[in-house]
Amino acid sequence: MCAAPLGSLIPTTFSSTLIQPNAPQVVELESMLQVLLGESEEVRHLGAIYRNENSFDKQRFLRSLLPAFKVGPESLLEELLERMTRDFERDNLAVIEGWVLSKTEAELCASL
Amino acid sequence: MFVEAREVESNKELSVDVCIIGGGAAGITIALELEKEGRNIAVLEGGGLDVEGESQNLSHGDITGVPYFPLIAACQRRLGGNTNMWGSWCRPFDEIDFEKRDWVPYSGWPFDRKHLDPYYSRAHKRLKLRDFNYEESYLLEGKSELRVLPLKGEVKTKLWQFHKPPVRFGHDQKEELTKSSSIKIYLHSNVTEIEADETGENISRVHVASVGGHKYFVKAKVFVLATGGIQNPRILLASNKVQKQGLGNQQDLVGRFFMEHPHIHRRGLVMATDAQTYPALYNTDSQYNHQVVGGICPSEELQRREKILNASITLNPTIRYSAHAEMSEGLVDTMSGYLSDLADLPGKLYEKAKLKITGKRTPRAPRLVLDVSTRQEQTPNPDSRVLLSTEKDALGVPRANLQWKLVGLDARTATTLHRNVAKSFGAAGIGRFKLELEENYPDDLSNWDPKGSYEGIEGGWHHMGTTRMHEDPKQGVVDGECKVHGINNLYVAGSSVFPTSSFANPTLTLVALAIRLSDHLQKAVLV
Repeated sequence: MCAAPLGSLIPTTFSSTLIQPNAPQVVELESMLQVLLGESEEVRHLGAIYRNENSFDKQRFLRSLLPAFKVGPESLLEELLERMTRDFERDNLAVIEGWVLSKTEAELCASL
Repeated sequence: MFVEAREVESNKELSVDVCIIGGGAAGITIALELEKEGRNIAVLEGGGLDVEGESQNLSHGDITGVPYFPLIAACQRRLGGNTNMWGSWCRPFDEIDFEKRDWVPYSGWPFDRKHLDPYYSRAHKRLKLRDFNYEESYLLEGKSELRVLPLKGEVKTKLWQFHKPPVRFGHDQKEELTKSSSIKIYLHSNVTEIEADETGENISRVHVASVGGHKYFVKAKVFVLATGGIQNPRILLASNKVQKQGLGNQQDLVGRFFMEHPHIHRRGLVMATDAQTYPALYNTDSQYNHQVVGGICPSEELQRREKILNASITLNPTIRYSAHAEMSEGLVDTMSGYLSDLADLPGKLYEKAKLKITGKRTPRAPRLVLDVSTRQEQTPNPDSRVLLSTEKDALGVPRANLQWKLVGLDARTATTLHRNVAKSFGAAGIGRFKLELEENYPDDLSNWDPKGSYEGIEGGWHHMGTTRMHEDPKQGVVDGECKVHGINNLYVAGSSVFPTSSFANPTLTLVALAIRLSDHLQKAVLV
């Protein structure tokens, strides 16, 4: 796995144009997720269904990931995978058109 | 030796030590076990050595409950019985299957699994199986392609073992049976009545007839009824000259509690995270290559906590995905893309960075989509039963009427298992599960008509429970030794004595019980 610093993973255009002065890190995180996953029609499809069927606070979800995000992408990744595993173990699930997903997965899709 | 019915003098009364009615797995096993003691044994087989229309037609009957296989096909009337069409799926019942479970009505055997273990071990020899050992370390030794999935949570892998080709009882031992001086197998010899004496406490003889009209009688010290879970109650109910409600039926239990193993095929999908290393163990085809198949089953803890029955699922590469083009544009493809894009996040972080540098996109890895098939225990249910039809067969015996009935607990067992397998696959990172069964059936649903997503639910050709075993005559047709309550010399063998059914296929357990009954007859009855 690449241990490159976060800045090298994020295209300059995103990091320079989308950062908001009042919540720069949240916007930076959102931009990174867009780059990583936003191209995927499938992920957006699942996210749209989840948003339609659930009340979803995107800002709250993104803020909850900030501590890990500040450390770096590996830490963010570990946080996401840990949450997914925990979700499955604790029955914190989202069923989208029959597919059983962890709530974290569903919220990640819905945040795009 | 083998004897054709027509070779017996008409209306003659034969006299033997043991008369076994039915030449299937149970009947042949008992004959071979008793032969060691030099007993004079008659096995009455209704058919011949092969399928014959006239004989098979005697098994025809009505289906008035949940749709079922035609009885003319479900009850093989020929030497070997239904072992002529079985696949050798073998696995002992679990310890919990023998327990009285407060959430499973009418559950509990007169003995525990440990009591049956020595008989299971001997049954393995009869079925040409490997040692009586179902540990992964034993059955999967040296088979790396059959590794066990690292399941998490409250589901676990359990194994079946097989012998290929499957043992065909009577045929595989034909030489031994032909040479035997103490066993005579009478072919085309259908029992039309079990005749009790005037007290109803002893069987004096059975009436035998062939389709050609030949008739004779067999008198014995002991009679063993071993014609399967549909024909056993049929014969008892039809033998009603002395006991008007049928033999052994004082408590109206004969024919009740019919159980199958409900099979729900191709309901549920699994998208495996890693197609390359996904093990073949859970594919039912591995029985042919490896003589072993794995099922994913609820743990005892899960069964106790969720109050569900025992069950299993197997996973075969889907035929639906490749067969229907529209699904490639549906959610299956969505999930495949999703797993490519999300579940492999570690690689993606790296790939995305590289993408910006090289301008190339790494192709998505191939995904493996698996169909989920469920085989499960059935709730014991007195309304699920075998009755006598108003129609009679060519020999004048009322035909069987099968009313197979399911209840809410049967439905909830499948859906609960599916949800827990979904959780396990997610937690272990080995895939995602698509639920396709309708949920939320109440447990107190006493007559569940499986429609919608359950359309096509079927049995496994396993007929159990219709002469159930219980020490209390008010709760069972036979006692713990498989003797019919209230009758001194009539025993029942086969899966019709099972009080509960597990999810495991019945043959190994019924052969073990047949060996146990043989021991009992030798030690306590034929002395």
